[in-house]
Amino acid sequence: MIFRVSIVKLLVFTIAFVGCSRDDRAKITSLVKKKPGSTPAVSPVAEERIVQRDISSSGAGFQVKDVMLLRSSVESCVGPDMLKVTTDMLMPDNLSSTPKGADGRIRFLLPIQYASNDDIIDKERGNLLDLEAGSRTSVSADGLTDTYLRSLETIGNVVAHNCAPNNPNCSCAGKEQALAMMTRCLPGINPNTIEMTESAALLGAICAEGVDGMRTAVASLIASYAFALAR
Amino acid sequence: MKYQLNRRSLIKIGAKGAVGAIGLEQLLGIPLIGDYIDHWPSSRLAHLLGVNPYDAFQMMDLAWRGGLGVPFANAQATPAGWTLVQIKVCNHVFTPLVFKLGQLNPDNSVTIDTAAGMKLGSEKMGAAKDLLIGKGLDLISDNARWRNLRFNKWFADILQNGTADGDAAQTSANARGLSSADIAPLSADKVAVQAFLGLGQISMNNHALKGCKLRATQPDVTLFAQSTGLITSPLGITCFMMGEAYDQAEGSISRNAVLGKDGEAVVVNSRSVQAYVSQISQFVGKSYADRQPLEQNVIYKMDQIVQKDPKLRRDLVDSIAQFQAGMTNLDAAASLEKTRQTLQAAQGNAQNQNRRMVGAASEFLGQCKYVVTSLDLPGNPVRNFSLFLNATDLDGRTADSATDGGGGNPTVQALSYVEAMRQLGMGLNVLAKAIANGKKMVVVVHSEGGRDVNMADSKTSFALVLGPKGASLLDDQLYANKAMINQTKNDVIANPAQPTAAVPWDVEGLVEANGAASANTVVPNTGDVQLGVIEFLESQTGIKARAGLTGVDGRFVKLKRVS
Repeated sequence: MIFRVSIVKLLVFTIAFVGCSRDDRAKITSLVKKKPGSTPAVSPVAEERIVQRDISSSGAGFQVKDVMLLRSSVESCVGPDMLKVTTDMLMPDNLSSTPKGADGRIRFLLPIQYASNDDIIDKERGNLLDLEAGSRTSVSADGLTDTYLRSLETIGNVVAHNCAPNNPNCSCAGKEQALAMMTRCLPGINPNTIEMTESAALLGAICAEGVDGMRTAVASLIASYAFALAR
Repeated sequence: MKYQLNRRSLIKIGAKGAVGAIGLEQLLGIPLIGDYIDHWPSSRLAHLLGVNPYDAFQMMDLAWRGGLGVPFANAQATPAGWTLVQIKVCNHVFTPLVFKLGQLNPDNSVTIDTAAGMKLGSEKMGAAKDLLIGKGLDLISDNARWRNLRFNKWFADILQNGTADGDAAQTSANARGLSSADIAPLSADKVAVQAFLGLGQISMNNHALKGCKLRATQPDVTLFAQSTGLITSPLGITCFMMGEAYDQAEGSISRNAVLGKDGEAVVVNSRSVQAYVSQISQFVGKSYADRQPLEQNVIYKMDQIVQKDPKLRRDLVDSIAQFQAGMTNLDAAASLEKTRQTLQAAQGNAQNQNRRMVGAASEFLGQCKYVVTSLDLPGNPVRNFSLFLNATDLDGRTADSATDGGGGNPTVQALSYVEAMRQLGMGLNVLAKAIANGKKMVVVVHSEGGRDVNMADSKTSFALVLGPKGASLLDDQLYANKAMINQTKNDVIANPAQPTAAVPWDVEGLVEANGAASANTVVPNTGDVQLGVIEFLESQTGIKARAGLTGVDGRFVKLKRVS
């Protein structure tokens, strides 16, 4: 089983990133840009170039994750106890600046809205799909909205902030680890698509840029459409 | 999917977030919050939420707390509508610092009869007198356009070039903290400038904020325009204060505020530029999640795994980038508040600080820069502005003085009259550049009274209007009793601020509510000019806002259009 997965990964990387040996965002993105949305140069897998779900935000046919599914998805992705708000996430009372905290982590939550020990998904409930509360105070199931995405970003930020450098669930430096994380966090998506491999390459490049890069990668993954929609 | 950003939708969404966050919607059993929003701010819901929809500062906070963030300020695909800027110059204005009245000779010199007691504008300029004379305070502008408006050369050059000394070239010494990108030679074909002389007060109060209202029983022009829909500023009215207080005499409000119909009822309080910038910075916020441009943005890349064209993300990322770019300029605007010059007596560049004179900060310029910068923010979330130019209450002292004449209030951080008019000219240049660049913006400058030749409080003042020039738009014009200002001696020449200097104009412009020309005995006032701005906005938007204004209250100046 492990052998089979490794073979698949090897195949994917060989096809998509021949000659791409640098963890540099600009280079990665330029490589991505060389492939102008049409059929890529290489094939067997390239023929699988499908968007697994052709989802339109204006239609029904899909559902964003509700708060329960979102919670379990985050836990499956990065493990338990990653949703807690801590004091060093809160901006100072003087909002004229938002300096990094003593440990170098950024501050991104308004103290008037969040408090230490809050569960971020509970706090964001009103901006998410909350089937328990009904739709009156939350977004509807078939509408991916700015509010939902913004809220997802906040959740992603909290998770990223809680990601310690030695947390294996947050390890994503390089293409392989990035794809492994994406495969684990987006289990409903075929990992063998061009889109996945391209994303993994960029995510891995960013994640390799130190602790800040790792947190950017984690937050970005959780803030994505893919995380919002994929089961 | 097109996003329409307007105040109502913002409030709705913001209220939804805020209400949802505190469970108020369920508590009150209100299924359709939007229906209540239309009645704000009078509805109980508004009070319960503690949010004033006219107050940009509060609305920004609500928008942020409601989870709106950047994307809601994005994607105003439709034209942005008009922007209104009101500039209140308090305490009173000294006409000779802007205009040169007297008999205009064929060689473009101006003669007044000093032997008969007519005084030159430079007489009460204190230590700045020589500099001002050298820069042309006592001369009419040598620029034909400004000469037609009767501007003196000193003010005209500053207005034309946007520099503190009026020079065409900006230097570190004359920039007052502005950058070369902030100013430009004032466009002759894209920006109209209108001047109004001999204006009476709307009531007889001296340096009282209520004297800046549209009418004694009407609100500020900004509130009138917002509440009638002439100006659709999504986040309400931005109201600035310069320093902490101004030296009000016959009113009770010692700071700038947007006033309502009733006397001095405060509808929107004023804040510093820094306070607004801090609030806007919360829209952008900080984030671990990637905020790189789209082509390098990993979230966008991952979005494409499940959607080929993740438009929401594109709008979000683009708008964040635009906000971040705007934040640089907004931060620069805020820093102008702290950009303080070295005090130079010969420049008259003083500001009052704790009862002593220090070099002036560029606070008013900060307000102007904030206005033009915010008009570049995605969605134009703010389009209605009340600016404040705090000129000290001289009470007989010379125009280079900045110390407070009303008893030495240490919280009054007013400018000397010289510096105030200098920053006014520069600030108008900054705003004019935005108009020349296509912003649909009207600027009205006025005061609550005039300052007489002895620098005492008086009654008669002037006003200025800037706006886009072009077909069906505005044209340059001077509204005055042109015969009287073109003589060597009379009441107007002797003392343009005295009550008898408020005289009927001999040019077309002042009209009654029904559009008929006013009788040639009617004296115009500052409210008539502001109502002229309202009428102009009506003509541009098709909205009839003045329906309830009749009789004297309905009188207005028909601003000259390009024919």
